[in-house]
Amino acid sequence: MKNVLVPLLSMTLLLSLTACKSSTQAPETTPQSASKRPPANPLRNAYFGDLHLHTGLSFDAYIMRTNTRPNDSYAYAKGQPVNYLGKTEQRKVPLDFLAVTDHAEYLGALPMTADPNSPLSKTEWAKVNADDFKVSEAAYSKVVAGVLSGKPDAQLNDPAYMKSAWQQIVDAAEKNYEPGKFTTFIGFEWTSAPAAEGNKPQNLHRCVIFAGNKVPALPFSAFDSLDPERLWTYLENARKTGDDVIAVPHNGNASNGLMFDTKTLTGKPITRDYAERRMANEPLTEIAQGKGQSETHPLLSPNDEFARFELWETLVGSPAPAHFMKGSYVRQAYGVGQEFEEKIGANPFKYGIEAGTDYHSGISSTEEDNYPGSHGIGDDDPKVVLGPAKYSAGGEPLIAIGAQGLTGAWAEENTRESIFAAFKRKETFGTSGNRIQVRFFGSWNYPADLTKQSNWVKAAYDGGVPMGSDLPAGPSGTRGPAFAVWALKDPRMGNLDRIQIIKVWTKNGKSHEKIFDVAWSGDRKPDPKSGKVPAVGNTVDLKTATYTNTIGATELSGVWTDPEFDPQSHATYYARVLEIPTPRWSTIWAVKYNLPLNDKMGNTIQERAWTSPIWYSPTPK
Amino acid sequence: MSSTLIHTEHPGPAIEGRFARRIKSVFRKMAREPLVHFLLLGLLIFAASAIVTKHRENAGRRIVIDKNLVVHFITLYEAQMGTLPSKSQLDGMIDDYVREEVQFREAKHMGLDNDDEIVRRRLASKFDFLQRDLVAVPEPSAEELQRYYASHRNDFLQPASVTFTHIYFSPDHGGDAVAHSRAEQSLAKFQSAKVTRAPEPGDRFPLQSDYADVQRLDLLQQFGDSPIVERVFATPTKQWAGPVRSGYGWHLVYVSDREEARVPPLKEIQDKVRAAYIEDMKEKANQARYDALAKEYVIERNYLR
Repeated sequence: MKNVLVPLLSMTLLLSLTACKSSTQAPETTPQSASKRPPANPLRNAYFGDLHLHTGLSFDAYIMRTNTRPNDSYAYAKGQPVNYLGKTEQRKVPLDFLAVTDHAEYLGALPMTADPNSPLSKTEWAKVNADDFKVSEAAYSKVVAGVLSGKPDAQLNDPAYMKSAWQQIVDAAEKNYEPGKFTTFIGFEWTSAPAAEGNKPQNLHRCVIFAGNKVPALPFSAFDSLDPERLWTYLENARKTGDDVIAVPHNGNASNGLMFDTKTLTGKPITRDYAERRMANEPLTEIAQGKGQSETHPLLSPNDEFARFELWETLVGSPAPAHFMKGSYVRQAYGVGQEFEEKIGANPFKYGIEAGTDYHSGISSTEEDNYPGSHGIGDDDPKVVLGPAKYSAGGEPLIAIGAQGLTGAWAEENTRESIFAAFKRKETFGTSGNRIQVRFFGSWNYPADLTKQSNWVKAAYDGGVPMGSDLPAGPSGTRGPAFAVWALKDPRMGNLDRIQIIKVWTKNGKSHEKIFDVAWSGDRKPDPKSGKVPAVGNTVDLKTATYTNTIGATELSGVWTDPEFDPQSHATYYARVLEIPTPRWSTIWAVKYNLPLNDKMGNTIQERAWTSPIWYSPTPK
Repeated sequence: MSSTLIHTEHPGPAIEGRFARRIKSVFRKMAREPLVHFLLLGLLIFAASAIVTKHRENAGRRIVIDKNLVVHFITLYEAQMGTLPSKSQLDGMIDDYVREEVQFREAKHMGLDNDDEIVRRRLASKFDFLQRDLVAVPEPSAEELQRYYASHRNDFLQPASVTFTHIYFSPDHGGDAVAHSRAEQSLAKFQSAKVTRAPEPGDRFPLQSDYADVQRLDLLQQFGDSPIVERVFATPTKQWAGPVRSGYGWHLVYVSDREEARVPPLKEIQDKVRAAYIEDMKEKANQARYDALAKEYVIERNYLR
C-alpha cells in the first residue's frame, strides 16, 4: 500500500507546487539605481534604444553560435564590455533602453541540445552543435523548416524550455532596469511568415513589448497562430490580467505585400473594427533595421533621390525577390490607409515610427565604425562578407545587412512608464542607427521664427501637437498648417545635410506623395524648377574610410507651412533628416582588413532619421 | 482474528475434547507472540497488495477522460490563445492525451523509466526547481544589513561624477576656426572677471547648459566620445577651462564640483543593499536545503580507495 500512496501524494504535492511557482513570475523588488535620479523634463528628452534584439535563446541565433544571453545584451547596451564570439565588444556610447526580443518559437530549446543534463542533448537535434558544418546545417534546416511550416517538433516545442527561457528574459529585464538611468522592456518576437507558393516565407513578424513586469506565463508563438488577429487577442488578454503591451510589425519590405495588404490575412475585407483594433494593438512600425528599410523603394518613389538607401529586396530566409509594389512600404501604406479612412471611417495604417536592429548577436551594435557583424559566425568573416556572393541563407548577401537602426522616444524621464507612454502616443522616431535627435510639431498658427526663439519647445507644445498626433480642426481660411521641425546631429557622427517634410495626401481614393526640403546646411539655393536643394557634397576618402565635418550643420531647424494645402484631402506629414555622406561599415571593414571594396550597397551612406507623422483629416478626430 | 482462521481451516467435528482444547490454548499463546503478529500482518499486506496490484492492472487498461480533465484542457487553451478551442481542436487535444497516456503506461509497464538517464535527470531537475526559493527570506534587521554592506562594499561602488556648466560655440556660424577663436576670446574675459556661469556670450546649446552629478557614461550620450568628456573629469575645479571640443563644436567649461568613485553610505542605497542581501540569503538557503538532504544519505566514494 505504502508504495502506491507515496508517489500519488508526492505527485499531488508537485502539481500544487508547480502551480504556485508559475504564478510568481515577477520578482517583488525592482532594483533601484544607487545614484540620484535626474529630474523629469516636462519638455521631454530624446532617449535612444533598440526594441528588436535576439540572443542565443533564439533558435536561429543559437545555431549561428551566438554566445550571448539577455544579461549580456543589457550589459552591452549600458556601455559595458561583453564577450561576443570570443572577442570583447563595447559600445562607444551606451543606449538608454533596450528590449530583448527572442523568437517565441522554440524559445530557449536549442541551447538545451548542448546541455548534457537535458533530454534534448540525447536527440537528433543535438546535431546542430556538430563541428562538421554539413551535419549542423542539415539539422538547422530541419529546425527552420519546422518554424516556417508552423508545424513544431514536439521535442523542441516543450513548453518547459520556453518557460525557463521566458523566466530568464523576465529576470534579466528586472535585474537591469535602473529607473532614471537605463530602461529595460520585457518582450519577444512572434515569427509569423505565412508561406507563398513554393514555400517562400512572407514576413509578418511582430515584436511584442510589455510596459511592465506583469506579463503572461508564456509568449505567443507562430505555432499558436500565423494570424496577427490572434496575436492581438493574446495582447488584449494580457492587458486584462497584467500590464499594457504593444506589438510592432517589422520588415514590410520582405512581406511580399502582405504587411499592409488591403485585406486581412484570412482574406476578409478590412472593416472599421479591424482598423481600430489594429491601431489599438500596434501603434508603431519598424521603419528600418539590419535587413533593410521599409520607408520606400526607388520604384515606388521615383522623385525621391534619397530612396535608394539600405534596400533589402528579397524575402527573409529565401533568395526569392520580394514583391513590393503594393503593401510592403510604409510611405505607400500611409496613402492606402487614408483611402480606407475615406471609405470606412478608420485608418488601419496610422503607424508611428520606430527602428531596431533585429541583430542575432545579442548586442545592438549600430555604430557604423564599431560594427562587428550581427549574425554570429554567419557574418563574422570579412572575406566572406565582403566577397562576391549574390545571396546568403538569409536572402540578400551578408553585405546587405545594415548597421541600423535605433528608436528615439521623446519622454520626460528614462523610465518604463515614461518611455512606454511615448510609444503609445507615437512621439517616437527611427534612425538608421545613429543618435540623431529630431523634433516635429504641427499647428495652425506657429510664427515663422518659432524655432529661433529661446523657449521654443514649450511654445511648440503649448501652441500645437507633437509627432504622432492628429492636427486639431483648422480655422476657416486657406492657409495650410505650419510645421516646426528641428534636428541635432549625433555628436560622434556626420553633420546634418537637410530636413525634409514628406507629405502623402489622399482625395477620392487617389493618393500622392511629395517631398519638401525645409532646412539645410550652408547657403545652397533650391533649384528654381524642381524646388530641390542640391546635394551637400561628399568628403569621404575611400582609401582611409574617413570623412570630415567641414560640410553640413550641427543643428538645423525651421517652420514650414504647407503651400499646397487642400482642406478636403486627408494628409500624412512626416519629417526625414539626412546626414552628410559617411563611409558605410562595409567600406570601413574593407580598409581595416585590407580587402577590395564591394559597392553592392554603395560605399558611402547618408544616415537618417524618420519621425512619426502628424495627420490631417477633413473630419477632425 | 485467529479464531476466524481456526474456524475456516479446521472446521467440523473431528477436533474435540482435550486435544481440541490444547490446540486452542496453543493458538491463544501464539496470538500473544509478537512474531506471529508480524507474520500475520505481512500476510495481510501481501494479500492487500495483491488485490491492489490486480486492481491496478485492470485500472491500467482504463483511461478515463472526465469533466475535470476536459475543463483543464480548455482552460489551458484559453490561457494561451485567448479564445475557446473549437470542437475539433478539443478532440485533437483529447486524442493526443489518450495516445500519450497509452504509450506512457506501456513504457512504464516495460520498466523503460528504470535506469533511463533522461528520466532520472528530468526528475532531479524538476525536484531542484520545486525546492528552490521556497522559504521567504525574513526582512533583514538594520544590523544584518549593516553587516552585509560592510562585507560586500565593492559590490556597491559608484563611478565618479561631476557638476559643471559650459558655454557653447557652434561651428554653424562661420565654421570651426571662428567658433574656436570666439571661445578663446571669451575665456580671456571670464578669467579676469570671476564669473561662474555665463552661457550668454556663446551660442544657444540645444541640450543643457548645466550638468549636475553626471557620470562619464551620461556625458558620452550627451557629447559623443569627444575630448570634453575626459576634460571635465581632469580639469581643476572652480575655474574656466577650454576651448575644448565636443561632437557639436567648442566649449568653455567650469567645473564646480567633482566626486571621485566611491561606495555610498548605506542609507543612500538601502534598497539596493536589501535586494542584494535577499538574493544572497535565498542562494544560501537553497544550498543549505540541499546539504540537509544530502546528509540523509550515506555516500560511499569507493573510487577513492
